Amino acid sequence: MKILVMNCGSSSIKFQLLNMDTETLLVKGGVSKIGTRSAILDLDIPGQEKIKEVAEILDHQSSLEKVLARLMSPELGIIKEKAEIKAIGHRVVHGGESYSGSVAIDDAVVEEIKNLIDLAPLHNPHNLKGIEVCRRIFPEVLQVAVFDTAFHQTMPQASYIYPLPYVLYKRYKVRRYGFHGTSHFYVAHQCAEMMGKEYSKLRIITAHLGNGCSITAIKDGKVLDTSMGFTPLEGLVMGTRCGDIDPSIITYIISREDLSLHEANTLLNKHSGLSGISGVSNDMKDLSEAAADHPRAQLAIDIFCYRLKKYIAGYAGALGGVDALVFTGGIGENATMIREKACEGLEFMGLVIDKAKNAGSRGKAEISISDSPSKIYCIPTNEELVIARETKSILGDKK
Amino acid sequence: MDILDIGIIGASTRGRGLAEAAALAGLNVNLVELNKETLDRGIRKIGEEMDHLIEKWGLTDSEKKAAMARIKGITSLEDLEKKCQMVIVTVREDLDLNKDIFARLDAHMSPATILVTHSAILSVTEIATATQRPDKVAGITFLPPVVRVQLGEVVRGLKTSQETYETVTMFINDRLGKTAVEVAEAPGYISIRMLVNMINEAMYLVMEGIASIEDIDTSMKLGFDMKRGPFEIADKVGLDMVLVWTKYMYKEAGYRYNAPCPLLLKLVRANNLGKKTGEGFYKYDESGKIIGVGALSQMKKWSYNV
Repeated sequence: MKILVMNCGSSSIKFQLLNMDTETLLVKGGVSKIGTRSAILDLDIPGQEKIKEVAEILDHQSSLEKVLARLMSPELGIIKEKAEIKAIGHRVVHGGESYSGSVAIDDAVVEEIKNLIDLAPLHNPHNLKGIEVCRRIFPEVLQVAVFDTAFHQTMPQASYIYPLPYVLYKRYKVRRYGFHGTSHFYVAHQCAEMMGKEYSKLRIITAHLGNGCSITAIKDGKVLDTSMGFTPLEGLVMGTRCGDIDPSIITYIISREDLSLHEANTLLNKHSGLSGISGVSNDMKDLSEAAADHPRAQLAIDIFCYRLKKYIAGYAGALGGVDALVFTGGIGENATMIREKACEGLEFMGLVIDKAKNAGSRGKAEISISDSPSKIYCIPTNEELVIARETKSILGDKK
Repeated sequence: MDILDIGIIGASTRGRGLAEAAALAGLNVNLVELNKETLDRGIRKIGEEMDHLIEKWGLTDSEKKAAMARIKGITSLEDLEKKCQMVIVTVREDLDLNKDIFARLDAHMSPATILVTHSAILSVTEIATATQRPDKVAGITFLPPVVRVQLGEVVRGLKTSQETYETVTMFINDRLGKTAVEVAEAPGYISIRMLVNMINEAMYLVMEGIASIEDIDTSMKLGFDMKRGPFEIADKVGLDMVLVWTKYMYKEAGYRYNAPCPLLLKLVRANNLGKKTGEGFYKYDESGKIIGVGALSQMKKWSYNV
């Protein structure tokens, strides 16, 4: 059974086509720079040379049509006809309080995702566009929305209500939502599997460290707390986002530099974080290479790890102890030095990293010493697989 | 019809501001300026404007690079890509010049292309007579700096079709992310008419010796929660521009408006045009910060005697 997984941005689509009988990837790829004369179409078929094509592609619909035409072309022949795709799963960033799980998309769901645009103006409109395009091209096929926020809806109220006038929650739904839910969910389950223990009886901390970074405390299969909040700006230091700061700084800078709301927003979201501290790069790899010559590159790394460590320890306290800590995401999966620095000093609470294992790990691995009371893992995330599984399960229910 | 490619005629302040805003919004911009030197300088200045936005945290380097790549400079109207869905003319506010350009665009562009005049005062209806497509001619007014000001006025000429009006409105709302308001054709539309009268009245207040430039600005800012006072606005717009508008309003519907205040004429004659020349009602340092009141401060006695 073939399932298509879609992730649409403002000028890009990313997709994976999976055979869900065997959970194998058939092809992944996407189109970027949509709306220009030099849009780029990428196709990556496992075991084959990557395909890249530059063409004028003006909108999301023609992007997907072009991709499908390539997949059905005689030379690739990945599918023979559209009808082979039995269901489509969409990544949708914000499900608000309406969705604590994945749903089959109908007009009412589309309307609700539209209503949530206010909460995720940068993502939901584009996710929605992907849904609309797919409904047009595949009118008969089941479409499923999988929300980044859904997993975090299991959070208790004490974790998601901000210490602001309660009426703001009532009026505008200002509360903690959390993001990267699909990724935290996936690696937490993988972790339980690797430990050979029951997922619903564990205390797990999952750190998704990529372009955006978030960390989640999971107790007995439910989210206890997560670092991203009302928007993906809160919490850890990120590539260009500041994470936690004193909110008064914002009003102070706005008045000192006469900033508009847009400028203040961009300052916090695009000019801060690793990039803002270092002045060198927003990429952890660049910073590690530059650290020897640039004191501020080193400072950025130090702040990143220090704040990460505070969250790990804080969540361990909130959980009443920790059975496992998981690193995932681009940085979490690849930056051995960051994992080591973030765990440094946490031995007292049972997290003892094995430096040699950590340095040598590739892919899914345990990186704590063998008698460490709490385990540390590095687990590559796979959000698309979760989306495909969710879609398959809803398709099964429908039948 | 969706707007993806636009032509902008003229690389002066208005054309540049619009090109910058459109490119940042992801549109492909064809900027037409006959003089190659002016064109190059114009594009360079757009880059500098974007640098200011970066300094102000409103933009990142890579966003600037992508936006600049979307601006294509052209030195002949006839080299403009025919398929552009919209062409906006931002040349001098001279009726004959505008009519000539509209006639040439009408002959050159695809029949579907919407032709727009970016003018605060010229008649859309009259400009449209130079074309065979008066239903596809409309007017737009943006206030500078286009990138920051969230308003766009859409001007309907007598023959502007509903479809054209809706497309231009969609362009402002959805493509540029601003807010469009609808105006019928009338001198000064909304913003210029309100502004010119306020500035002119403020100048008469000074001339009659009733209050100082600074105190008038302070009153309006604190009293009405305005970001800038009338004199700060006038200096920012440029006093030559304010004079053109005020004269025009007076000429077109003089029975309802005051004549341009003599103080304005005086400053324009002295080439004290505001922020751009370093002095207008206020004096400015090189970064454009107010450092004091301009030459009028020495004319207080004179002004009391009017």
